[in-house]
Amino acid sequence: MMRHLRNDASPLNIGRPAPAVTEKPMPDVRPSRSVVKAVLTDLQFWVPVAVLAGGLFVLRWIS
Amino acid sequence: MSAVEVEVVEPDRPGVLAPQRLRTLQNVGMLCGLTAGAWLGAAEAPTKLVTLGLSPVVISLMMVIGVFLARWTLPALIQGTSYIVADLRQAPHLIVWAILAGCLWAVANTLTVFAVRDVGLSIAFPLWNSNSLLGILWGIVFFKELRGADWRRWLGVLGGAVLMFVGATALAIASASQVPAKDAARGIVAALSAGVMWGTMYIPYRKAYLTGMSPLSFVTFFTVGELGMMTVLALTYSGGAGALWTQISGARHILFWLLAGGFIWVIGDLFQQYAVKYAGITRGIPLSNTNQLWGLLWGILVFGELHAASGSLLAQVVGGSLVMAIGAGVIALSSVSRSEHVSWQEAAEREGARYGVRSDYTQARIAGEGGAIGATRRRSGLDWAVVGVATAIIVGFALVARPPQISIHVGWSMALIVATVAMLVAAGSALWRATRFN
Repeated sequence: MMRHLRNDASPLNIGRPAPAVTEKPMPDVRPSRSVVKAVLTDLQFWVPVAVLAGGLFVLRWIS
Repeated sequence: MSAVEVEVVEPDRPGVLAPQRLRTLQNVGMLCGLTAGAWLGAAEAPTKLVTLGLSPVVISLMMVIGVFLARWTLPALIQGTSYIVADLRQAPHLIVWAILAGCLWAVANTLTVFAVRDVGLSIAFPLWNSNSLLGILWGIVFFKELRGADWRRWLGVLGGAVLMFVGATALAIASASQVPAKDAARGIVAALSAGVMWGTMYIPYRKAYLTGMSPLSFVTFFTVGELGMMTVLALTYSGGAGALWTQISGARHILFWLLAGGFIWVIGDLFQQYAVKYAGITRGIPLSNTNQLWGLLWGILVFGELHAASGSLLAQVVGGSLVMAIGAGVIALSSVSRSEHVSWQEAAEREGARYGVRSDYTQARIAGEGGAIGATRRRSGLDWAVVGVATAIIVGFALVARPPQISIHVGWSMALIVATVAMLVAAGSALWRATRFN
């Protein structure tokens, strides 16, 4: 196979059966872990939680 | 990658909008932001009732009940519950963020009632509107807003933010001469804390709308968090269910006005959410924060606030407000470039990959289209039941309502109402034509 051609695009391969696909498939959009774990490891979840806790503290102080 | 390369390469990329479509969505988003400002400003007027001696927590609770009724009535009327359920099934993890955002809103709203009581509507408004500064920060840090933007857009957004901060500071200084020092400090802390909470609330908003969810679907669970948190706060700070009921029943003649305030607020908030969706946090929120100017108009023209203030104080308040408005305008003029929109798309793809949301759904919704969710907009018996119950509750409160004992200028209030409704019609029709409320 000519090195400068990718994906077995050599002229010698014309008419041959297609080689077995060895490339990695497109990434599955489904999460590999549970949704709960995805939420709990998401910084965009903990920032609002921390601010909510702070707001409750301020409310207790001023009321 | 340079901006020129992006313009050449990206049109072939799935989900990247054509320039005309991007402009249309941005214009609609900005119109929604301005309309949100008018309605959010109008909704704060009922908090003036706090001067009648009603507990701030009870005021906030009643507003939230009005909000709850509106957040189920309007989506049921416009989309139907079956469509909402189908939409939520596309990204069920967002229910967590919706409830969390609702909790943030409830606490922030309660803080604003304390702030209005201690420093007045004209002063408190711009202070909690500092939320846009924090919102801009979160938009840049978490959602890739302004990535790929040129230096003029960065300068516009950050320069506008600085102007808004200067204006808010001028108003905070003005507050010191209006109320006792102890009350002023408490009111300022309450208003600024509300600003931080509302600024952070835009994280769930943006997360939901990058994923593709319709605002009309998101708010149905958002309000569960609102009502749940507010009920806990009211029970805690009122001394239990019995004491709370005593306060509510004793104030039944004015509760309608608070429900109405909550209902009006929801209309403004819906437009604000569409502004976040189609113009982003960095542009949509500063525009919706023009509610500060509407609040100023309501406070001064309708309720006669600052009527005894000196000329210099009045100049300081008006000047500070105008500086903030100019800052918002500068930010709004910093439109989103196509290369920045590609960054938004990348943030959306990250969300989809993390939580397993279909990419075609996300791409269609970012483009303001419906996407295939296996449902159509139609009203069922359940929807009409929701609307009927909500209407009956509001009518019931209206029947026992009495005009609040507070002097207002009727002529100015009518003029502001007409202007506010006109903006609703203009933004609502534009949103429908461009996105069908997606």
